[in-house]
This record gives sequence, C-alpha cells and structure tokens, in this order.
Amino acid sequence: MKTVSGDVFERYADDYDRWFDEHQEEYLAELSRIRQVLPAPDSRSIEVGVGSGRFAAPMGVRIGVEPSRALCRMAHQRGIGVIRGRVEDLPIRTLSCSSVLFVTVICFLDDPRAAFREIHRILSQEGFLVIAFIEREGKIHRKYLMDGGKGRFLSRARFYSQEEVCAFLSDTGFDVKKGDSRAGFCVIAAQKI
Amino acid sequence: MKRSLLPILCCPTCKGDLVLSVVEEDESEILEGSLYCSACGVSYPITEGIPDLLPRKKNI
Repeated sequence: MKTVSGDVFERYADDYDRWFDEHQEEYLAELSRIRQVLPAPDSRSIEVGVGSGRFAAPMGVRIGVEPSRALCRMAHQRGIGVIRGRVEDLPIRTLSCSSVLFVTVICFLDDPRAAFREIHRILSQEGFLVIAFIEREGKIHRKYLMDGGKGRFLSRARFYSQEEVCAFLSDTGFDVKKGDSRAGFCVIAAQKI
Repeated sequence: MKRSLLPILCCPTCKGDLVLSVVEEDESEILEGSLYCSACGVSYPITEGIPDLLPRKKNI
C-alpha cells in the first residue's frame, strides 16, 4: 500500500483529500471510467488502499483497508467500514471478498506481486479485481512530476506501464478481462482464476 | 467498526481468528476495544471506531 511515502499521507492528508475538490473534472472522469468496469458492489466488496474514501463512497463500496491513520479517519467519516492495514498483509479472511477495488496504490508499493497475491487470496472464486493507476510516462505522470498538488505524493511513486501491470496480474493468478488506457490513466478489470 | 465486519477479519500475520473485546459501543458500531490473536499473542486496538490491524510484534 502506501509504504513508499506513508508518512506523506499522514502529514498531508488534508491536501491529498482537497485535490479531489480542486480537480473535479479529472476526478469525476476517473470515477466514471472505474464505474464502467466495476461489478455492482455488494456487502463483500472492498477497496484496498481506500484513502479518504473518495472512490469507495460514491461507488457504494462499504469496506476499505488503508494504512494511514489520518486517511482512515476521513474514510470512516464518509461511512466506509475502514480497517487500518496494509495490502501486503491484509487482515481479511481468505475467499471472503466478492470484488476488490485498487486505485492509484500500485505506484506506492515496494512489491506489487506480493500485493496481488494477497488480493488473490481474499477474493472469492472468480471474484473481480479492478485496478486503476497512473501510467508511466503518460500525461498525468509527466504533469504531476512538474508541478504541485498531487505531485507531492506522486513524485515519490514508482510507475508502471499497462503491459507491466498485466504481467503482474498474470503471474499472480488473474485473467485480464478489460483494459482501458486513456489520458495517462489506465483501468484494468481482472478475474481470479 | 460495525459488528458485521467481524466475520471477514483475521490476524494480518497468521491469518488466524481474532477475539473481540468491547470497551465502548454505540447503536451503530464498536468505538473502543480490541481484537486479540491468541496464536501470535498480539492485541490489535480499536480506536474511534477504526480497528488497527497493521502487523505488529507480540505484546509484552
């Protein structure tokens, strides 16, 4: 989860959350694209790396895991049943989740394969993973390396191409069903094999 | 933390069962308490309605 820059998310949680208000158009476009591929959430859908709940809450995902205490509090205030935890050691029972949402988290991980193995473990048979991320050398990556706002967080991140993420998924037991890469932001839907 | 969350929670380290202790609860959720893993000997706190299940070492 946000292990590379966890302290940044503790210290600047308000700045992180404010970004979504100050960049409504970009935020709503990302939300819309994720909504198109995410199966209808049920009581066993979860967002891993839920942040302040900006994606889970409007999507109807009621459970989230997040390592930052400050962001946990914000997600809790948005009505998410939030658990403080990290993706590499999920405190969630095996086969207990119907779908997993994973938005802009992979870039903060030391070991993405370990994260995908844990997500694979908690998903029910044929459960869905929807992952969204900023692509390496894409429009958003280039923009935010150069200026403020999200750049405070993303300048410490590690970015991947769509092909690299698909390879992680394939290596850890997922079948990629859909991939949508536009404007430097990629959304992939994958199913547990 | 709503009680409905409990069936899906486990120890982040050994993935074993957790035993809930409630200190304060209102009509909607558990506000203060703990989740104990007997296999690891670790007590995970619940504070302000949020269970903290980051991996940690055995309580001494």
